[in-house]
Parts: sequence; structure tokens; C-alpha cells
Amino acid sequence: MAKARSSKSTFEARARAAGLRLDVHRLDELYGAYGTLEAMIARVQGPLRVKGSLRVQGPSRGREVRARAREKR
Amino acid sequence: MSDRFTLAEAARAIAAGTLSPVELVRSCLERTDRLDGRIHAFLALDREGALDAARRAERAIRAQGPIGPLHGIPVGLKDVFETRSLPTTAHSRLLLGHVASADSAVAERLEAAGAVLMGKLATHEFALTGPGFDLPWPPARNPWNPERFTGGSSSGSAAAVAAGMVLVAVGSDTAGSIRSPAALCGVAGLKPSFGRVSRAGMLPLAPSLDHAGPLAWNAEDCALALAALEGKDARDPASRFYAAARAEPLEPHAKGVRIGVARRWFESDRPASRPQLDAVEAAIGVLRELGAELSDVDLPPLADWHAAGSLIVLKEAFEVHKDWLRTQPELYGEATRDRLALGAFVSDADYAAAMRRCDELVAALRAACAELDILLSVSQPGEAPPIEGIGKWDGFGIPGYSVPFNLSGDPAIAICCGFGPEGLPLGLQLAAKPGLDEFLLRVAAAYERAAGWRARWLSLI
Repeated sequence: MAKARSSKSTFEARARAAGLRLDVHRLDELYGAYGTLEAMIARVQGPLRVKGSLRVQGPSRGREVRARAREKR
Repeated sequence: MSDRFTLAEAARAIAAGTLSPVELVRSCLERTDRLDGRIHAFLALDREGALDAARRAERAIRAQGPIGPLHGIPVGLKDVFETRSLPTTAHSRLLLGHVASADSAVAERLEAAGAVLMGKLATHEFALTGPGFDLPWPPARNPWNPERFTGGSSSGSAAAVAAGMVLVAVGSDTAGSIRSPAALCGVAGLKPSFGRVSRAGMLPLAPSLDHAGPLAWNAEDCALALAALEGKDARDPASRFYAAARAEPLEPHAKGVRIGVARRWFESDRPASRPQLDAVEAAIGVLRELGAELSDVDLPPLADWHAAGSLIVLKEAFEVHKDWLRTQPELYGEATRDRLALGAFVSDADYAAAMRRCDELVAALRAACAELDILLSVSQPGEAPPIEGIGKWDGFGIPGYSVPFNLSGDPAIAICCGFGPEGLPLGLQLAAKPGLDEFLLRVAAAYERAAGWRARWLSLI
């Protein structure tokens, strides 16, 4: 289950504890970036989905997929 | 005499006595005088110092011949490499007037190779974020179109090489900062194997991922520059010994080379533009005609590399900057200050998780590439966007194509693979296994020679 996002007051408290002076006029913007950071932290804490397989083939699979999509259209 | 030279061409002409280092430097200075009012590649141009060095080089070459291919060649340094002769500012108000007491290892090696230092080149502030308009100098602009972004953070380095103001520049690359501007400015940019080029005297961003490396017109020139720059250095704890690169021109070669195409990265993880995708397909065709064996390879998603890389960069950069951030935050540009501040929210546990994830990602990369020699991808999703439209958080949440090779330490190069509909360069990224920089450069040079894009010089402005 995805971890709930920290509140803005928690964000401000952590900034103060770190000794940072935040620009009060841009708190929403900084809190938005903090949300992106929290998503990155959640990502490195979650499982890594790796196939890591080598698929040898001829022409580009992407080109084939796009060609099929064009034919359908 | 042609107006433009590659490093290899200039070195041959200087050795043959048909090109004077003084005339070459004068030609670069003239071009800089004519163009840099619009390009802003240089933060400090050392006109007299460069001419003096060129005269010394000319006398020495006349007496004893060149000591190597960089002897008498005009070069520039991204302004994160410390120099005794010029200020080192990282494009920041915080370091205005800072003159180092010693040269960086890169500056020392260039001087030992007889290169002529033209000056210090623009960067994104402290090699982080994007172009800043609230800094002591304006951001560098793309010589192919000054309304467009250079990429970064080695912005002035790529712009100066593309515009012919220098023949080689040295940049730094923590998450693509050599390869991104090389791609957008249509030059070659090599991030060498981790530890191959000493970072002693280079202002750090994130020491676990920081690399130093050359930007030049093509892969052959990057090889010549690498041979001068590389070498073990006890002053840099990451410095490692690799078999020395050769100081003579490369023999381009791609026959039988097994190349994996990281298609998922640029087709679905972060889809590149149609012209970029077409250019990649055309490049694959060129490599196949050269005898390379192409196959697709599945690698971990870019978002995983991006998350791990971003957290490591933010945490380490905050450790570097935290005292200034707490006491003089107003001296940073807004974008740098805000980005650095985020590092305060990356806990030690988060950092450890990012490092573990890095290990897992690199293990997956090694497993997927066990039967491959080269990985092919892109370093940018398309042509350079308008510089005025670059937002301060652009690239923060969007995964880039370059950072996997900062995490793995593998050598990676961005080279030109064509031009888009707006006439701007498109880039290809090739990577090899650690220590195989020269092999990577041979394959890149083979592609460049066969594709022919390097014959298209920028016609200036």
C-alpha cells in the first residue's frame, strides 16, 4: 500500500529542524517538490521489478508495434 | 586554410608545421569576440594568457616538435575546475572572485600536455538544476539557435566547442551533465569510466557520482583528450588505474560488436520525439551495415534509476552545501537553493535505501548485458527546447536517460546522430563496460565516420 503523503506542517517542521529558512511566499511550490521527493523515496523502498532479459530479434519491436497500430487505425 | 578544425586535424597540421598555434588561438579568440555576446559560453576569457601560452607552445614545437596532440590546442574548462590563473565560481554569487591556490588535476594535465587554456566556461550553478536568470552571469545559449537551451550543466563547454571557440572543453557529469549538452549542442561528450579522470580540485556536487570528462567535435577528439586527462591520482579517493588510452588517432571499428538497444527507455519510459526515434533507427541501420550485431535489451525502468540517482545527488549535495544554505541562502539562485534544500529531507535511511537500489540496478544491468559489448540509447528526447521555457523543476520528476551510467560508473558518450526538423542536433548515447572507454570511442568513431554528420559544421550566425 502506498505511504500517505506528509502534511504541509510536517514539511515545514522538518525544514525548520534542518535549519532551513523557507520562502513563505513559495511554500506551496516547495511542498509540491517535496511530494515528488517523497515519491522517489517510496520508489527506492519498494520492490524492484526487473526482467533483465536479452531479447535478440531482427527489426525493431517498437516499429512493429507502431506499424500494427497504424494498420488498425 | 579552413576556418574550423577538429582537434585531430589541428594536431596533425601543427605537427606538420602548416598550422601555427598562435594563429589557431587568434582564430578562436576572433570567433569568441564575434559570437560570445550572444552565446555567453565564457565566464572568464584569458586573452593575453592564451596568446602567451600559444607563443610558448609555438616556440617549443618549432624547437622540439609537439609533446602530444594537445600541444598548442585551445581548450576551455567548465568553471567548476579550480585554476590559479583565473577565478573559479561555479557560476555562483557565492564564489565571486574565488581564486584557488592550486590548479585542479584536470588543469594540471592540460598544461602538462601543452594545451592553451582560453578561459572558464559557463555552467548551471554548482552543476545543478537548469539555466538560471538570477545569477551573476547569463546562462549559455545554444549556438545552433541562441533562443534554445544548451542542456547542462556543462552548458558553456558544449556551446564553446559547437561554436568553435575552443577545440576541447572539460566538463563534469553527475547525472548527464556532459552528455546532455553535448547532445543538444551537436558535439561529442564523453563521461569516462568512474575514477578514470581525477576530480582533485573539481568543485563537488555528489562525490559518489561525479565524473570529469571531455567535450569535443567528435569521438576521435574525445579519445585524444582522454589520453591527456586520464591517470591515477592519489588526491582523488575515487581515482582508479585503467590501462592507458592511446594518444594517437583511434581506429574506428564496429564489426562484430554486440550492441543492445535500450528501447524501453526512449520508447515507453520517457518517449522521445518522432524525429529522435527516426534518427535512432537510422543510426541502428548504420551500425548494422558496419557489421555490428544489434538486439533489444530489457533493463530496469528509467524511473528506478532516476529515483536512486536523485536521492543520492540531493543527499550528497546537501552535505556539501548545508553550511552556506543555512547561513547565506540568499546568495544562491532560486532554483539551486530550492533544489539543494530538498536534500535536507533525505534521511540517512533513505540514502542507504537509494544506495542499495543502486546496487540492485547495476546488478540487473550487468546480468542483462552479459552478452553485450555496447548499450545504445539516447541522451535527450529530441531537439533543444526554447531556453526561456525551461522551468526550475523541469527534470526533477522526469527521468533522464543518462543517470544509469553515473550509477554504474560505465563509460558513456553522446554523439550527434542527425538533425531534427528545426535544424537542431539530435544525439545518440552509447555506453560500454567499465574501463572500456577506448573500445567505446572506437565504435562511436566508426558510427560518426559512416553516418557523416560530423562533416556538417555549424554555420555561424
